Amino acid sequence: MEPTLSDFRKYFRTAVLTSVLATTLMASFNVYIDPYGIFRHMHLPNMGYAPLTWSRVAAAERMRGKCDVAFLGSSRVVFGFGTEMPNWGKWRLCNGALGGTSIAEQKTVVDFIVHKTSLKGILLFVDLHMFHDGRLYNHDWAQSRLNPERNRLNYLAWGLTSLDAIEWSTKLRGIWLPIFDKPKPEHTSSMETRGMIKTTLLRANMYRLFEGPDKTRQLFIEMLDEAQEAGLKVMVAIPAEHALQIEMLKTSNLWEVNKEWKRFLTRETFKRGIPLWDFETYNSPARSPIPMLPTDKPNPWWSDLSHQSKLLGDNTLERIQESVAGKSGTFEHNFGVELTPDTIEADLAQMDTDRLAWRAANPEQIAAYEQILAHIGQIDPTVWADLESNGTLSVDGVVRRGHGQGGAEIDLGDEGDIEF
Amino acid sequence: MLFNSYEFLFVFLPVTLAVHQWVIRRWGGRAAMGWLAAMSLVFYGWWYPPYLLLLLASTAGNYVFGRWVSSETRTPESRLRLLKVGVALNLFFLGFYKYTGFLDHSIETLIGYDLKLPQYALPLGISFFTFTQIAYLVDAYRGLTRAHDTLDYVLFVTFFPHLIAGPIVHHGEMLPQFHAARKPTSVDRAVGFTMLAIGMAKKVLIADWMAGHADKYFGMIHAGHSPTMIGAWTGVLAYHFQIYFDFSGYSDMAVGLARMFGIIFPLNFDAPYRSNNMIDFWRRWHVTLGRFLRDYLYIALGGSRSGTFWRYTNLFLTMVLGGLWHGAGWGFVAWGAANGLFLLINHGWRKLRGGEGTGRAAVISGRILTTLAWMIGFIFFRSITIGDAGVMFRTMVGLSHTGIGVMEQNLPLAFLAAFAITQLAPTSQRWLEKYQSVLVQGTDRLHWRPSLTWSPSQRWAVIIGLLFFACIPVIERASPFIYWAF
Repeated sequence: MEPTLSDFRKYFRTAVLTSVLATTLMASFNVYIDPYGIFRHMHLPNMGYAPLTWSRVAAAERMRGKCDVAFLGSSRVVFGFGTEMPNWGKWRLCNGALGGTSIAEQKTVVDFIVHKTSLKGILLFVDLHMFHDGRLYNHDWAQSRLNPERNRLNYLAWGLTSLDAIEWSTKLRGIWLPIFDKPKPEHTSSMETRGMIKTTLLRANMYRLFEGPDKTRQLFIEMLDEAQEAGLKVMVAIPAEHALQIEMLKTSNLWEVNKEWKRFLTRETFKRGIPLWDFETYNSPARSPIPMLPTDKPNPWWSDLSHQSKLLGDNTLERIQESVAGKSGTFEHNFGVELTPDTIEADLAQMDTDRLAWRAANPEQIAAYEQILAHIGQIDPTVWADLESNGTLSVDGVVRRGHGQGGAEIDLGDEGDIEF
Repeated sequence: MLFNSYEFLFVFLPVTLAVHQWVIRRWGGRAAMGWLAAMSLVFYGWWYPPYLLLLLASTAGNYVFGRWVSSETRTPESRLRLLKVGVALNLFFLGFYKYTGFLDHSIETLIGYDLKLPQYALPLGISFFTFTQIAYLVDAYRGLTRAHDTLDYVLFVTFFPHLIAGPIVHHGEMLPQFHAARKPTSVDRAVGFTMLAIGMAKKVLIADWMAGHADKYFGMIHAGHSPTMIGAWTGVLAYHFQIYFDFSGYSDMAVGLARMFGIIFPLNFDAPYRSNNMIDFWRRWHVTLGRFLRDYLYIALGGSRSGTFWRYTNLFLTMVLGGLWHGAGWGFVAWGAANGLFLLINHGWRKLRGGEGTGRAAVISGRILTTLAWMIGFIFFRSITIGDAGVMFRTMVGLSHTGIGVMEQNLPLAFLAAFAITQLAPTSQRWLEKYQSVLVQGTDRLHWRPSLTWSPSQRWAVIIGLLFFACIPVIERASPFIYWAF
């Protein structure tokens, strides 16, 4: 029997309704879970969602939410402070840090804060590698509200219906769909330590092929000025690093560069009346033994060699709060040193002394470290030359590039998955 | 805006459809055509509003020239002069926006002198609406255009389903439809939505997935590294299917969108990977471009009127210029030249053998050779530079000393599935042929049995609805259609 016009009408309606209903269901699920916190205004009090920690989309939404002071910086701040932040007196804190960030990106974050949020202050944690002139933006910046060209309709539709939103909505609820990558295997701390050493030394956007800081210095100054002109309270800190991480500055011939960078930070913050704390010293957490062998115990201060744990993050926050309140004495003298033009040279000289003392007191850690250096020396470093921004070391030891364009694959051994 | 974008699918299309329906009921078909013309201009201006002026100027200018060259009160000499001026102006603007940079760069490469010519962003669709209107002008001069008014012409040029990336519609096909302003029926909506869903699926679920793999290996070469031999073949195969499903998907979407408004487009893509020779291939790949090149370039150059030598010379030149039309780069010229050469070889072979073989061996070998010839050509098309194409060729035949390598785990199956679709699945228009999805069906005859052929049943409605839905989560990850760059 030939179909009638009514059949066609019903067909069209059914087809459109099917897609609309399926899309609505998917969107409802994504609103309910809301992995990025885009639809927090629609949440009922007992929905109890926890948006992604590391995502730039989520970080931007946190800064637009109930927040007075945002913590900015790299993955060290992302993981060291988490998203559940305590109040700071009457101020509500939030974590706006971005993994693998650069000063250029932080400048756009400050632009966003000034124009799109009602924040009252920022605590900016800076690392030397953020000042690498060659660092590029991470891909999910473009998807976030930090991107000034992000179309509002596009953004909301993406948050409701995108594959990214579905992926994280399902993963946050412990549902694994076959179309997504499986959850990454657990790695022992020792694998991460060795992998992090290789990543820090060999990746072109970390210490190898370090450029500058030249352009980034100017961007940093502009960022401070813009924040202050907008009436934001600005504070700057250098986050804690483990002594092995600090040692890699020496290995990469960046020891003097690092000193010069601290002098620059001290000059520019002091003349603007901005407090600057340096946690990158040989304090107790920095000197504590880091696991290098599978039998070594995990370290409570560090989730991996490069990233502090929440415990260290909490202590950092308390130290800064104490200092802001004009108090001292709770922590050891070199945990959070306030840098000024009067004290900087003495503090830098103390670093030289403390380094030698640490090396002398930790021969096994040094020996394991130098063994890794020897292994690295066997690898052709030119293969890293074309890496752009974040890439990862894979479980099977094959290099996967992030947004770079190629390069031969090399085997760095079974060091586990490390992401910056 | 892209067809595969949130703005288009969630706002533009539903609003345009709904208001179109309302306007028809309230004021009739002609008013609805006015609405479509207005929304088409919104569609074009969304990307970069200043270039809307260029589109309007081109449309207005060509309309006026069309009136002049078809005017019976003018002398034939005067009309011919006006035609030449009109065509020249069209080509001038196309050249200005599209080829200035290429000219500058080529001269600098050849003689080391930088002309410092100003360069502007390429206006979307300029290649398409220029060719559409050149054909109109030529036929207006020949007295082949039918009665139409300003609105008909505006819509003929700017109708959004074809505006950015074709098909290159012919005035003879479209002006009568716009003039008639037929009210779309339920058949139109059903067929249109089905084609739209199929097209979108081809693009975002298949073509864009393949694109990731193609980009990896072509990008690797452009960055100065050679992939393994298998890596090179992977990149080429991935692009082979990417370009097929991208263009096929776009063509289906354009046909489907037009049909939802009661307009039937010409066929533009007819299972070219089922061709057994290059002559047949170019009757199936970008059908409307082939038609334009034949009717307005090949014949204008002299066609086959001046003997065999000039016939083949004109054919070769037409293909080279067709390559250049695709893009301002030597890679596109090389692609056009390669296809021209393969066509000449095909013609020569036919003459030598007295026709095409029809036995199974001839068909299979013909298809394999046609596929290889097409691949050779598009390696130039896809590579960023001619040098990159050279590296790709060398690597594919094992001359780059990077070893054989291994294909990624899921790719062989993916390539096999894509191959099966290109060889065994009927075209979208054939699948819906009972309801005339395109003006004239192509030569590809592959059918499925009736139980698998489309009909407006609830079963198919749910399937198509789910297919459309499946595309939505990956809209954001989708890239622009390849032909939008031209």
